[in-house]
Amino acid sequence: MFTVSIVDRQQSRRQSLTAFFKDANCTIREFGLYDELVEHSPDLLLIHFRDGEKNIDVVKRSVAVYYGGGGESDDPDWINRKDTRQECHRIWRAVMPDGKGSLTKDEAKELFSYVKDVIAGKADRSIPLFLEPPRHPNIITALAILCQGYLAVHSPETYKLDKEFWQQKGNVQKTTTTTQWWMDSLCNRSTADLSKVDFWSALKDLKKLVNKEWEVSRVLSFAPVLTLLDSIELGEGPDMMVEKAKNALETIREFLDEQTG
Amino acid sequence: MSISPQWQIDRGQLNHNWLQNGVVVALNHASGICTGTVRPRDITRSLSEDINRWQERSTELSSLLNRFVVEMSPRIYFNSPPLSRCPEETRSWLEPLTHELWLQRGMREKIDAAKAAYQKADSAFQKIYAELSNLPSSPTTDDLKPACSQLQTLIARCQALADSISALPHRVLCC
Repeated sequence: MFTVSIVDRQQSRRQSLTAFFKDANCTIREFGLYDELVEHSPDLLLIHFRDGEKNIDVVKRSVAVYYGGGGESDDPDWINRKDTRQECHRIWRAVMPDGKGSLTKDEAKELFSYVKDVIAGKADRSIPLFLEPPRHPNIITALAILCQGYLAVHSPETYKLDKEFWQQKGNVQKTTTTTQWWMDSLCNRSTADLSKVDFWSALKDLKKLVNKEWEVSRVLSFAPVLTLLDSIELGEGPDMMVEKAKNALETIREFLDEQTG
Repeated sequence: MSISPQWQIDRGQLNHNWLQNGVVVALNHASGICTGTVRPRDITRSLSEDINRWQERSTELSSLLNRFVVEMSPRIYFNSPPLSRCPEETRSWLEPLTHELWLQRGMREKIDAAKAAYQKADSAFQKIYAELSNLPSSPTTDDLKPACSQLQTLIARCQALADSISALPHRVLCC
């Protein structure tokens, strides 16, 4: 019998995270705010960061999965400490008490299989994607910052900025309409070092990175961002690009919010 | 999902671990002494220990609030790839623009509110320190009454401070 324990003061979140395991007839043990952790050995331990302050070492688990709601108790230094722990993982998006960001049925199934592989000692097991840390977050962030800059130049009514800010605006307007302008700040190496062929292949790589990032989140449609990247590739002018930059920026904003609640 | 600055780690230590789970808990203990529900052997010493928890790290907390605008601004993205490779002619306007738009998204108001809450809490502590220094060595319940009401103010102000620090963003907001 597969056993799951969950340590979380929010009852609704305990229920949403264990729903699949209950349906699969697993044995579930729930520990709320006032429940004392007792010595036991579940196959899977799900634990909220804030409630990890409890005497968690008494629970001898095969796999532990931490999560948080994007607040202060989330461990901001997780990446640096993760490697020191055995089979200790983290859900990288925020998991909210209302069920937002909780495990989907497919993800729960994936986790279920993963834990079974760990118990069976399978060497070729692969970690579920939602437990993998984001690999290229700075590309998404950089794209958002460039979108803001582009909109501030080509759609000035979007933001309230002092006139003095744009003393050199004429020059800025011209340079920001080129594919080169975007790529100079998004490429993983200087575009000056790239041949023409490499330049377009770098842009394709960029699209793959963006795709991968969204695959990890599995939350939103990323079409507006890819549409913008197509537009950058085609070298479209502001008449076409402003709306696309706005939509892409909105999508990125939602995406980043999903990550942190 | 993004860069995790030292500021976030320090905020967790100071606000969550020290202020909320240390200072506020100690103040509630002190309040229990004043109302007579907690009876330590040495009342004055115990009260003093509880209330002096503030002095242990309050300067660090003040400095944390001052560091916010530098360390949590999205302009830090220009220090690492890919934006660190951004040409100077773009960086010269895009970096300050990114910072300015971030401030316009309510950051100025939020950090000002947190700093004001800090000042209010600190001034309430200074008042209660003065009150404590006037207590006799074995105070009666009547002696403790003024401190009791001040403690309630202090707890409320510390909680308001903790809330205002929690209201600051939990990631570097780039857009």
